[in-house]
Amino acid sequence: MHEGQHFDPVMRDIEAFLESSQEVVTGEVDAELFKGNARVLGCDSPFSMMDAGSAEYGETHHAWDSRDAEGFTKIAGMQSVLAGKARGMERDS
Amino acid sequence: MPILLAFSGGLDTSFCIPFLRDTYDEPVHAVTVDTGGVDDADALAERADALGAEAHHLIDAREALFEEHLQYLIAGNVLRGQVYPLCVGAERVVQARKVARLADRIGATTVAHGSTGAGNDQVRFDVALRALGGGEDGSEDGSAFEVIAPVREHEVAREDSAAYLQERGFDVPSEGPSKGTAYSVNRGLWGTTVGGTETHTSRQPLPDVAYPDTVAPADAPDEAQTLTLAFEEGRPAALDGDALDPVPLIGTLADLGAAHG
Repeated sequence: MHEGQHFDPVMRDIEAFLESSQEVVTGEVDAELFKGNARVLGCDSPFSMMDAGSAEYGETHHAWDSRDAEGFTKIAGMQSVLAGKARGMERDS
Repeated sequence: MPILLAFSGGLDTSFCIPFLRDTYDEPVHAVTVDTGGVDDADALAERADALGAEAHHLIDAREALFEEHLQYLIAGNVLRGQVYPLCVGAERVVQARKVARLADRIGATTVAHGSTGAGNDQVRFDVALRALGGGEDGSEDGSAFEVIAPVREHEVAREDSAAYLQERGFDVPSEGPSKGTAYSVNRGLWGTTVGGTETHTSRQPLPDVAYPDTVAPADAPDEAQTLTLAFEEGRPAALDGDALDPVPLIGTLADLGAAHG
């Protein structure tokens, strides 16, 4: 649209995508205006994933236990470990 | 056959009215499509009349601007280069749409816009108007109307268009957002762009006087303004608990923001 291409059919696809993305964009935003700056103080939504009841961000967790977490880190590191072994890397280099 | 000119009341489109009359000897209809930058519609109509327009048409397109463009820019948090909210490109599409429809209604065979050869507006208007039925020649290729840009075609610099108007006894704006001919200002619902003088090089910022509606940050209130914005499925719906339609809500926010720099 900036470059005059609003009537390109792909713009209708982009608009459909954006419209679809707004389904759960419902809620309130607290903002502050001060001497040329605008900032968001906080926001809330009935659809907030942070309120979905399974965890507190960065703190306790309820949706998974320590065995799940240890299994996850083991698998997450598997690629790096295997690459090192395949190349005959020294463990402490 | 009438020429329909997209008229903002600025220097370039003011130049176009007498220039088109002199050059083509056809009646010139002026149309202002309000996308948020119109403060005094009566003054614009009087100005168009004084410059020699056959008629002045005013079309309020602010809701169309929101429904057809701004709602998507908001949904996508669209900022070009992370700073520019694409306000002008959006206005031009809506304006082209309204102008094309009016051209059909009044039987205009030529649509003119005031774009120079320098920027993006010429592309936006030419492409949009052609997509909406305009063409190279209104009669030969079956298009509804021809599209012309006299300021570009005749490479008219701002000093020259100012001189052209003064020679014919017309005022050149010396106050208001343009500060004479120093700055080219486009005010709209979604933002204001300013070009000229300092923007010609990379070395200096725009001075405070070049910002048409905004209080300088240093002069803004020492107490911050807090506000609560409510959205429903991506649409702005309320400000501080008061339900508002998008257009007045955006306008109110713009006023609040301007007061705080």
